[in-house]
Amino acid sequence: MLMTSARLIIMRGYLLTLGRLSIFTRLLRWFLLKLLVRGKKEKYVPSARFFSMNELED
Amino acid sequence: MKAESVLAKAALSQLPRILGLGDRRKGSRTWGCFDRHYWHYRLHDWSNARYQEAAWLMALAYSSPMPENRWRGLPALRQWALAAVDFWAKSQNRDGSFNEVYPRERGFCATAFSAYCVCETLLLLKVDPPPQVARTAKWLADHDNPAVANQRAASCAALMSASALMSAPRFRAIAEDRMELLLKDYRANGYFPEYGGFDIGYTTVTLSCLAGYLTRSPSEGVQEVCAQAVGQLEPQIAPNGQFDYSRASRKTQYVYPRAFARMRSPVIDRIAAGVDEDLISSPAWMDDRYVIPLATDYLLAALELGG
Repeated sequence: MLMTSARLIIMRGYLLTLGRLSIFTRLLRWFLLKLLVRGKKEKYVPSARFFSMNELED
Repeated sequence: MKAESVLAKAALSQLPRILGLGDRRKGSRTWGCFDRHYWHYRLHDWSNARYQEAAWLMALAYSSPMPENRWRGLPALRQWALAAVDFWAKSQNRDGSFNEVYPRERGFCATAFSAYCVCETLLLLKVDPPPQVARTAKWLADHDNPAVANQRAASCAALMSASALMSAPRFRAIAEDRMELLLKDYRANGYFPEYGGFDIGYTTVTLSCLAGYLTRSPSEGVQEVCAQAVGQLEPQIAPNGQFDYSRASRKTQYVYPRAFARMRSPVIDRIAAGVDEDLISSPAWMDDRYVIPLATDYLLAALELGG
């Protein structure tokens, strides 16, 4: 799921208002992990998908 | 080690890093996108078009016969270069412009430089242009940025390459007219203006674009100004490639070597010495955004020396 302008505005609005209370940032983190990592066939891992020499053989 | 070899190695050593910036998963929605902050980290809501300039570096590595180049002829590299061009075309604004800093920016800089790289990639790989190239050339023909010489020079080079790619003499004529204005500015000020002042680093970016322009359209006026500007820079660059950027209008810390290589200036050996001793800003010192154009220019400089 890519970032879009609408998603960015909603997220900023949420964090700058409700995000003042840590429970809401923890809630957002739980939601993002569920959305992007847990139970996904292809999990989001920031440190992945760098170049590998094996790709030249494909 | 010869300057040609030092520059080629400095450029090609960055290729694995630059490939890591790109989405190389065929079938992915963002296949060919080289803005990792967008397609992978998902931190941005737009993709910076300047990352797509990686296409030209890949095309050069794919097609350049030089001993330092282990990437030559690898089919994957050609495929990724064309994927980068495809994503560039997909990320175009409706009017033909591109974005660098925020959505719908319609940046002259991003449009000029990315179009120049895309056109050169397609010419090098002998591939027909997508329809978006004509739209971008038209946008560049209708817009200009006289306050920033390097961007203006990039737009001239882009229009000249687009004209060669599409056999469109109209864009060539506009490039020639705009180039005359750029040369006039240089002659009037004694330097290429960068937001009202002189800047060594950006002068070399401008000169690199002029060198690219000359490969497509030999022009005595451009050749003469190039020689004059290179001569002006020579005393300012030390034998180890270092220079004082503190008083430059934009405090640019790096130099593009291509024009020095083309003009066979002694500065090219100074830059190579500085890179060899790891004393000056080289592609390896750049961040993800600047490594792509600087590595490309280093490779172009090596090719100028070899050719």
